[in-house]
Amino acid sequence: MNLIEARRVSKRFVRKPDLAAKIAGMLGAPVKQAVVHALDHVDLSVAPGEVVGLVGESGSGKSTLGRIVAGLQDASDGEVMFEGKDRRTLDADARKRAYLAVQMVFQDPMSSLNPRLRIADIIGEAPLFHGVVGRAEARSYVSEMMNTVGLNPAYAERYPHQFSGGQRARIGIARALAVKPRMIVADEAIAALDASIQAQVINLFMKLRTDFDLAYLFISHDLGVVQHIADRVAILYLGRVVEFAAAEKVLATPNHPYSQALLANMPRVETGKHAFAPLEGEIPSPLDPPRGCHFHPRCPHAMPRCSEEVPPLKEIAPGWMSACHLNDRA
Amino acid sequence: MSAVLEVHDLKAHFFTRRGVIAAVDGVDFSLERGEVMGLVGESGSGKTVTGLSILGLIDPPGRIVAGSIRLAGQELVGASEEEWRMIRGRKVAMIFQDPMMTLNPVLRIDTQMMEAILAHEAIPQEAARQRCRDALGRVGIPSPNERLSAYPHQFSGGMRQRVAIAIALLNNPELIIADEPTTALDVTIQAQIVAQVQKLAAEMGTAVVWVTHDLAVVSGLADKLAVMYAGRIVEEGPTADVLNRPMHPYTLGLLNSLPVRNPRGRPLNQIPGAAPSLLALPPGCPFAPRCIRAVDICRQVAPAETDAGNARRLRCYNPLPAAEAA
Repeated sequence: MNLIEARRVSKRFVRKPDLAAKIAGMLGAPVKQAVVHALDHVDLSVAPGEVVGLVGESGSGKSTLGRIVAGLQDASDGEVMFEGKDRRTLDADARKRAYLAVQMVFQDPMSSLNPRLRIADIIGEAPLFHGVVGRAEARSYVSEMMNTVGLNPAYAERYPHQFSGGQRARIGIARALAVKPRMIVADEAIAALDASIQAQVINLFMKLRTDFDLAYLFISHDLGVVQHIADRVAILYLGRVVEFAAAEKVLATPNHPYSQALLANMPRVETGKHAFAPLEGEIPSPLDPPRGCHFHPRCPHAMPRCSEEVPPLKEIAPGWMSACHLNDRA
Repeated sequence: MSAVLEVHDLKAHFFTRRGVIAAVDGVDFSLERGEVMGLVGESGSGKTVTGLSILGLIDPPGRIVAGSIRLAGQELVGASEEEWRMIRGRKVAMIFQDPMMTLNPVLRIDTQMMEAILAHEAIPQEAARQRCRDALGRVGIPSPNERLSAYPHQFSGGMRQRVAIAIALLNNPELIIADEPTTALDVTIQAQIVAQVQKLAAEMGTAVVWVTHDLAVVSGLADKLAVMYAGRIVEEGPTADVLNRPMHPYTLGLLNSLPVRNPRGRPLNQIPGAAPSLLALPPGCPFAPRCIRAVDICRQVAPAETDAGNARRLRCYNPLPAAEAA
């Protein structure tokens, strides 16, 4: 059974009309509501202990999906199932456990750690509140968590600003781990770190996975990192999953033209100096996405059908999903 | 061919209440016409301060305490503010990570671009306007004529960075300093910008210093690489040589920590520890405490720069032999 499964999840952000628009509306002018379709019928599943990489550019909805899976935001449509049950239908106790089981690690540790709290409180507050540990053991529990993520427990009384970027990332991870989650949503958790520190934190993520049998939803724009740690990879474009399959398949022989372009544009140390053949065009605005397949204005293989009909996410090989009309021609 | 830019023993120090920070502490390199150099390093390695020094943009409490920077034969260290006004924007231009640092949000693009031209040359308005139009077209902005009268907020992030590049190119400078110009951009947009800069450097003969933390981005773009650590260039050489046969243990460590250089799912080869505080540098080589190849002398005296042959230079007592490093 899947640990987490998102079914037909959509998320819309609606901008409320401002005063001028309200007055214009009262006077009879047509008022168009600005709606951002951040996610459009997204299906995604994560098995226990599995690492799913979520790749996409800005505006693809990857962070929104991560926040919905972690329970920080509600979906406008669709449901998120925890161990096969819709989280909203569970009784209070089971619901609390289902939400605690999915924790989040953020990109910027400086804005996600309260600067006025000591590390001991940042890590220890949630497990104490949720009854994971009693007040008497809280102190030693924090030390244990700090050891787990490679921080010296002697620093428990310090404040976030007294730590380096890599150490702050570790604090964020310890805070997430402290409520004993089954899964961690890591939203660009290593993007702000220097290369040599990045490797240390990736190694920590992988060690924790084996030690605690954790599942990850690993959100990143860095295909190299995702390739290294993910079992399966989902590629998002403008609110839709365009391809979802085992990492070695998607990243070696991508099916969707967007996945192909993304891989071709990924900078690699290997290639040496060469001429670039970049993908033309820009990512369209999610306020006014193109009709049909969202990728068709930039797609080198676009056909008339692509601008009319949304390609469904279909299985093109066992366990390999792709959303492209080209697959129908064979 | 004579060098466009020669930086010799450059030292830029910051005098703070907590002590002197030697952000740049003896940097040497030179660039020829049309050459692209990748200046790579982690936070605090001094790569940005090196770039700012070349533009004379080091403000108190910092100053250039030693060394020389020669741009097309002209000495820049100690130039007066009047001289700088003639140099900046005309002979050397800068592209920042955030294009909004270059662009004034309340002025139209044409106002800003024309100002940059007319500050250096007395040419008719219409001629200046035409040059702006050409510059926007050259960096791949569609319908440049209409876009000229737009405001910066009407552009996307990638387009803004193109405008910033167009402004940098307006006066056909000898040298462009690009400080992490694609770090904030998406992968597909980054590839577009890199392609554009590569093309322009080749066509116009502009030398480029591309400052970045990302080895992968410059690996496809730069002719040569300089790797900085704690204020010094520790290794320099032709891009392919440095990447395929690194000689400094730090360069090797950086390369080996890249996920693509490691078998999938295995722990990455990490460099232990963290970069030292510039206020409390260890004696000897600043990398020695993290170095797997450190010997006794590394902890006592900082290594001087040595010529390692084949246009490569190095600061290391115990470098990797070329064969082993592959």
